[in-house]
Amino acid sequence: MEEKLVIIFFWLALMAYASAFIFYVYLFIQKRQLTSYLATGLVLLGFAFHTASFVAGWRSVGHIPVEGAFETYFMIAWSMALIYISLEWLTGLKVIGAWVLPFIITLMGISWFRYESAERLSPVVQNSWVIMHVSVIFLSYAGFTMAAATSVLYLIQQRQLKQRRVTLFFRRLPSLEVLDNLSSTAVSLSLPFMTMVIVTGILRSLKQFPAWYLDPIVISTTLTWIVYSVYLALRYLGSWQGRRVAYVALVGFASLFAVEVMRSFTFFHRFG
Amino acid sequence: MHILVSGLSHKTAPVEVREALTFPEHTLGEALTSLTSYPHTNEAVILSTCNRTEVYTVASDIEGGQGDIAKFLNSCHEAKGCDITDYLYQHDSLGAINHLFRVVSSLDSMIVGEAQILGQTKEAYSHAFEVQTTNLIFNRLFRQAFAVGKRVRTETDIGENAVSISYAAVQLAKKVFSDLSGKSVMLVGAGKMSELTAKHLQSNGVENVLITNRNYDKAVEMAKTFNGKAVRFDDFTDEMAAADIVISSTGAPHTVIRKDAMKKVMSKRRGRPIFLIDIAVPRDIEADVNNVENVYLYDIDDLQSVVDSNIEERTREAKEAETIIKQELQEFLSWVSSLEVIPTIADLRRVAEQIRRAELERVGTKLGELSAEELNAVNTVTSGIINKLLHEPMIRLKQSAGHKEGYLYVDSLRHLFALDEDEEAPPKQKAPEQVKNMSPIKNEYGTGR
Repeated sequence: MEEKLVIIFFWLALMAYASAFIFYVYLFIQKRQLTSYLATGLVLLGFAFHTASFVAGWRSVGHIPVEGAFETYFMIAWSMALIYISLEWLTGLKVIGAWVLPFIITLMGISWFRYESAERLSPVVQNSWVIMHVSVIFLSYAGFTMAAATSVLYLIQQRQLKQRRVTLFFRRLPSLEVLDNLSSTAVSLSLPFMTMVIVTGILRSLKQFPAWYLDPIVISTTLTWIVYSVYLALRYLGSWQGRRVAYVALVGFASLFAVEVMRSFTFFHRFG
Repeated sequence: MHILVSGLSHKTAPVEVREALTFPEHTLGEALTSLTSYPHTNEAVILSTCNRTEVYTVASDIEGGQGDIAKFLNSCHEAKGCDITDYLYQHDSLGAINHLFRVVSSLDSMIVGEAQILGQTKEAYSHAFEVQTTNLIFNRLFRQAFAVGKRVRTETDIGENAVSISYAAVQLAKKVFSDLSGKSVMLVGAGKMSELTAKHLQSNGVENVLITNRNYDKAVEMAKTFNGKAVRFDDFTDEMAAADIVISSTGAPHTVIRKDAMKKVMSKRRGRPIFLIDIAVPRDIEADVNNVENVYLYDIDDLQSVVDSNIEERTREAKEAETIIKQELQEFLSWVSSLEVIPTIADLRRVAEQIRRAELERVGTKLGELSAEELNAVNTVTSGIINKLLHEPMIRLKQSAGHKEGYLYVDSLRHLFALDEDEEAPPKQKAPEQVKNMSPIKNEYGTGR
């Protein structure tokens, strides 16, 4: 029963997010009060269903369901929705919705293709270290994705201003300073989580996998960690502002992708 | 009952004519009371700004009311000896309401979307309210008009984007910096436009003003008016690192800010963005400066093109405003139609009949079984009482329909017999005192945002 609920709520959430996305796009094109309410209402509804699906999953396996591929992408999407909703609440910025929801919807789509029942997971990964390890992954991935989205917006707005063109993007997007602050805050908050990902991962594997440092995922994750550390150093210690650090944030995001590609070559980082 | 408007505006009349027909504040009260003393005119509001003079009235019939306004306007401007009839436009009923809603939403303004007309209309109404030349219709109409104006401003972007060069500079600065408070501006050279822009920036939160001029004394003098700091012209680029926004408008025949100097400034600023506005012709800042990282350079043509595109944007938003107006118009019309005599009589009959039937049902059990004949008699008697009772009020109501205050009887009747309460009642009117607290705004078409 609970497993069916997971799926039903999953699809309801996905549908709410997709319709919210349509309203956010419409709102981006034309500022209208009704559209604005509908967009926010739908994204909140989607998040409620998303959470309901998560709770149903929890009840069906009896512990936090965070261990399979489905749950992983599902939870990254959930964390992003949570971050986005708090951001909209705090800043009142609604224009970013049209740019963040595609990420959430894509992640949910990926998770659906990797769906499998939680019971079928191997006992190896049903371990509290793993749960901690994976939980911080969600938060860091969600934060870095947010940083990438706002960095892209920064680059777009920066280009408009340099080329002195008054377009829709120029009107709707917030100022360079706001976008720059959003992405650097996202990176600053996510890097500690990524550090915890690496530390918990190492602690967990010391005994079981002595050659953990040879794992492609470990190597690529460490590289990603370095890229984001460089980002913060350049942003706060050096005099790199705006456009250049935005590119660094995108390089970091690309290396996150590389980590996911490495998953097919890893010898112990497989789901389930 | 008919709503009429007659007037002239920047669209129909040149300034010589407009200034011949203005109503200064101190003459308004007298003008309004004289207007309502005309035979067909019951309520009146006069809207007089530098770009328009409009007379709104509620009249018992269209032609008579328009005649009243024409006589009134003639009596007002006769002394000035200039013929205004060619410049006047007239609207009645639906057209007049639509016109008022468009005016108050600033769709009819010289600069579409300017903010001041709403306040000016509120003032015009509160003047009329004080001298009691408004009544049921206008109290409702004008209050709804203000709601329309407010909806248009909040629900569309009509007033959002700058339509003057100096405001465009502020708008652009806000796309670079999130918040202008705590930011610094540097004025290179003097000029009306650059001073105006600096003032706008200051009112948007910019705190520090640096001023440099080839003539140092002049810079010191200007610094006083801005409460800023004068900088010597010889080394102003050294001080530029402290400025987030630079407005340049020197009369120099060559450029005064070059790329290599700008690179030095930017390394001192540790890459923090800087926004340069060059409003001098010939230009003060080398065009290549825009290629320096984190430098955003706009010259006068760039600002003008921002303004042009903003004006287009306002025209687009005006279409959305028209749909809001249509909705509100519908709402007002349905209220007005409730004031018609015929439907009111029908409503009154319906309510009376309902009461009669309800009472008969109530006592029906006590009377026991009645034969068809007896029942018929009871019905005849009760109906007769109702008809007799309603006969005189109905006759008088029909007679008053032609009278200039006829709709007031209709309204009273609807109120006393609670005719609107079983259906959807119109929203209760707020205390008219509310509209009195308004900011005194004098100029209708300033460089409002």
